[in-house]
Amino acid sequence: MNKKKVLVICGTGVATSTIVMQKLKAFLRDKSIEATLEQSKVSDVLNKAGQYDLIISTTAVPPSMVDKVINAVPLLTGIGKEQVYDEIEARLKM
Amino acid sequence: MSLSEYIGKDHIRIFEESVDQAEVLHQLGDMLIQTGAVSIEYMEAVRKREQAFPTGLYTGEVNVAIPHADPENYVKQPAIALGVVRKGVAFRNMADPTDDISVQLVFLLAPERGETQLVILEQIMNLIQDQANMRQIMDAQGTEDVWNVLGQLVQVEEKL
Repeated sequence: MNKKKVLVICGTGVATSTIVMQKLKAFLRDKSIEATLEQSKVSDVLNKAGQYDLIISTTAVPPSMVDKVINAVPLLTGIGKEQVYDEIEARLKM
Repeated sequence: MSLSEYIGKDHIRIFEESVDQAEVLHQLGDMLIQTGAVSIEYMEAVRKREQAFPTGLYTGEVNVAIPHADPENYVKQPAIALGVVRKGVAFRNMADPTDDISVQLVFLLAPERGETQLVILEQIMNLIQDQANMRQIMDAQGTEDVWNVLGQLVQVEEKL
């Protein structure tokens, strides 16, 4: 399986993406899924979205990016997080 | 360092009356500026960021917002100010900016960059994922009581 490139973003690239990053690392380790993880803010990736297999975002993204993006807010609030983890796993195993 | 130490008794405000978001941010920001944690520019950055990328979160009966900005050079001493807004205040939804959420707990974050802040952020996330915790904070009377509750809640989590 090819190692997928995953980008974690939020509005500032400072707080919420750091939390999501941590949770994602633990989840991937747990599932033995290998992936390259990067962290950034949404305004920095508008033209680079194509470089990633999957983008995990805590903030709303422009329509051009929507297809690649999973909304990570449930990982912050805990509400609906199982679905998000399932979707991440499915997308990374494609 | 635990969350209650990070927040400190000087950084808690209870809003008993109806209040709007600008006023909540203004008063919470003032506490951080007064204690020298952040510069005035930081609060300007927080307001801008809240416009572009709102931070309201649906967490259940008691909803939360975590306004913050890139610390750049504006954060002198990492800190958090907590606002308890009895009647709720509108923050737009982080996941869907067209949606307004009435939030009762506002954590104004003045973070540092990198993973050193992670422990504190995780404590907040653990806290807000449990509505029983949030009700305990809402039930507290007075800022000192809120601070004590925070200290107890975080200790319990660390033991688990």
